[in-house]
Amino acid sequence: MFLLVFLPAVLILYYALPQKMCNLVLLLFSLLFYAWGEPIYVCIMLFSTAFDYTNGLLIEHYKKKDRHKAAKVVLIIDLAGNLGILGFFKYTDFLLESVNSITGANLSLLNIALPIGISFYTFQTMSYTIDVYRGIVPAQKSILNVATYVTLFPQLIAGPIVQYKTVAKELEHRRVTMDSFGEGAYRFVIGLAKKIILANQIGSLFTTISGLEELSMASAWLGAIAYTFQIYFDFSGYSDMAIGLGKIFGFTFLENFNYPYISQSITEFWRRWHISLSSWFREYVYIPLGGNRKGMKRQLLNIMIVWFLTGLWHGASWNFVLWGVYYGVLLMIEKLFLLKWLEKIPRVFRHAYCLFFVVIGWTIFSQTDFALLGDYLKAMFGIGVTLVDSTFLYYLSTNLVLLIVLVLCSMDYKSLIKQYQKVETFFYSEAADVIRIIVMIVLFAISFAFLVGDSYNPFLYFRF
Amino acid sequence: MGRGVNVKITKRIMSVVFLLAVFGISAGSLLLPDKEFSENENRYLAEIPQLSVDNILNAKFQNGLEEYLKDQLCFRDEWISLKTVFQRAMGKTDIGGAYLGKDGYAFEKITKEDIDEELLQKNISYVEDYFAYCSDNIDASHLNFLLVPTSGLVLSDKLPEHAPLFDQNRYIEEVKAAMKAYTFIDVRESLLEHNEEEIYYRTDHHWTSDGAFVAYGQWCKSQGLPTPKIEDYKVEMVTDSFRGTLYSKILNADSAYDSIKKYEKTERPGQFHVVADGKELEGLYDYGKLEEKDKYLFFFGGNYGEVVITNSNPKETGKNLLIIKDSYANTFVPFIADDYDHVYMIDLRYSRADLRAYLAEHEITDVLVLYNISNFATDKNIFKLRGRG
Repeated sequence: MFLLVFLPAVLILYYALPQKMCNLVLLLFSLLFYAWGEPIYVCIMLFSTAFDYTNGLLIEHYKKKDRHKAAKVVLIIDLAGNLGILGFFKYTDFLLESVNSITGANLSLLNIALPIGISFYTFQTMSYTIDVYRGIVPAQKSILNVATYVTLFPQLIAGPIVQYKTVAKELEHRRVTMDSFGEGAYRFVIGLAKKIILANQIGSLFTTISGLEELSMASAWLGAIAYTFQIYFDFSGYSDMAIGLGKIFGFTFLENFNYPYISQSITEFWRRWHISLSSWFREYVYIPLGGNRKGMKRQLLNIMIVWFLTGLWHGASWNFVLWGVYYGVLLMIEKLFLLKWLEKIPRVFRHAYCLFFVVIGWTIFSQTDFALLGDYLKAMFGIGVTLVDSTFLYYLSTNLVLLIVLVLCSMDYKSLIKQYQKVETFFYSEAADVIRIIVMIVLFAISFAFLVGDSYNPFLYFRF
Repeated sequence: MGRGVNVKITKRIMSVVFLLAVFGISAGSLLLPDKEFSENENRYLAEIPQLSVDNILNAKFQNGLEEYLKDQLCFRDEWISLKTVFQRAMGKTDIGGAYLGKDGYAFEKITKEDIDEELLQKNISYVEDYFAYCSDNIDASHLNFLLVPTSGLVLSDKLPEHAPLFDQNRYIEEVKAAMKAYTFIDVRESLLEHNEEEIYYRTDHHWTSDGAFVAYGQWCKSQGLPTPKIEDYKVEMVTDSFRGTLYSKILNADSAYDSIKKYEKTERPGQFHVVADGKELEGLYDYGKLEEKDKYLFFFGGNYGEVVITNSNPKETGKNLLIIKDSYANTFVPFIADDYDHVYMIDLRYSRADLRAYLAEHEITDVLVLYNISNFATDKNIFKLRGRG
């Protein structure tokens, strides 16, 4: 649908109409794109836009008149508004449920459907007003540009979280050439293939395994590893598609993933995973809280706060909080002593250590029900289950090729080939470019075939 | 990609490739006429959804349009085969809910998780209650239960290695134990003895006429009838281009074709008058269905709530048989039809008859419950045996 109707239409209008109309076309199509799945919630997004636009102007106005307090008040109102919307739609029922289960009360839930992408765009709009307040960017005078920024469809539903300052200039003036278009198209196809071919395929393995009545230890690990790959290729696939589409329309979005599974510590992992989220939290929460400048105790507290919030951001459920806190604790331990110890052990152990905790982390992430999570973790540690069964052998053997491909695709091949002069020369040669074009065509065709022929196409971020 | 793409021309070619792909497929799908029915997948394809404010607000229109585009895409079948080719190249053997096994055999993928044991227990007790009711007027030895195993059990050597499958032996044993007071016809061993023959279709989940004939031998033994001999039948292959339901799940272009056989007694062949849901059929077979995709419908033309077969060339057996059945019976009934004055086939999925009253109404002398084990374990209509009393 998106590929065959929406994209052609937006491309035609975007390039046929004069440059002045660019943002308008993007805005209208973004609204249409969002309204496609969320016809009613589009209003929230429009409100958000008007709200942040006005507040941005007010903040700048007061700052120019040296009324810093007033500017601060507006900022606080703005943040309260944004967080209020996010909190209301995302966390009300979660809060009620938690109160119910703790106090035994019986408050009825509101059953609000979560507007898709709300966690992404509220974080984006906050980056705008905060940066206006900090004087990093001037307030945007045109409401059209603000609306275009908020609703921009390439990254609307699954990120990355594009900070306003990174696209402020491009919102007003950008140039698309055939070159950047081609680069964007290539990147988009790579992302599409990651999502449709790799993530969905390995995801169906995880779905099968987590639905098994009898789990062996080996199957439990296979399932957890399957999910580990699914979430990476799914999420980074979406980011690639967003970055590619951004390029097609003349925007440069920052990278969101940098081969996270090659990391050798949890600290490194979080520098490589969902970069736009961790940098948002660093910039707008961790550093304002004092970061590492106020002594070790305060720093550890800050880490905990940030990771509690990071967990909560991923979904209104306690397992996400647990997952965030789990990483908070791991990062504190690494900060306190583990990183120094890790430096002394061979690389392969560091890598194994990191992946072990990442896989356990995704297991926590994947099960919103604590009872199920408990059973699954028990199975992973061999408690009360058989070691290997024929079900495992079947799913391992029929997914082995896919798993190997996933491992290969998780590697940072560009750094690897630096050690081999000849390979590197070839990699940047014209022959390699020809191969790239062929790869692009083949990947597009296969992804398309899967889109048509496979009914399994999950959307993982409906909780975000 | 970064430095990866060096030459400007590469990027330009990429732009063109992308635009051609997107616009090409899009234009192709719009220009080609819509198809109503997919024979390959044996289902109706989506049509343009109705446009209304309500449908837009609850996103029904949007989802419907999405389905429509997916179904009416140009070269749809080719895209799907490409997907299957790719999956197989990656070593996958379970595709679309079916296993792709050896020698071109496909199997239903039914695992432990697909079986609701509670439902199975309930279904067993419905049959027990029904047989108990029947035994007021019919001798218990004339109350029969025949459970057909799925091909995965009988042809297990053709399954992909280690492929998970539900433990049907266990379930069949459970049913068998519950039917101790009646006649349970266990066809597993005889089918296994013939598992080198074509007793199941390669591309369809049903058993073939050959398979049903093996079971018929077992049936005759249980009824004290002489063992049927293959020489007494004229066996005719009516088609050799059948691709069944399992093919529709996998959609592999290089799939095998199955043939369908028809058995007819050479001596004193029955003359059958067949009425399905009040409408007269041409006979036991519907030759018209051989021109369609699902050629298994050759047997009776499909499933009906009630099929009444009257043997107009009767041996005057004085016996009337009631069969409670699923589609596996359709290949089996042509064999036993010779042995009764009337055969009444009831498919509970489509029937609303009160089956307790039915016994007296039609002077039933024998009852046979014939199901495939996975159908029997998952069918939610067996409760209808309770009748309305």
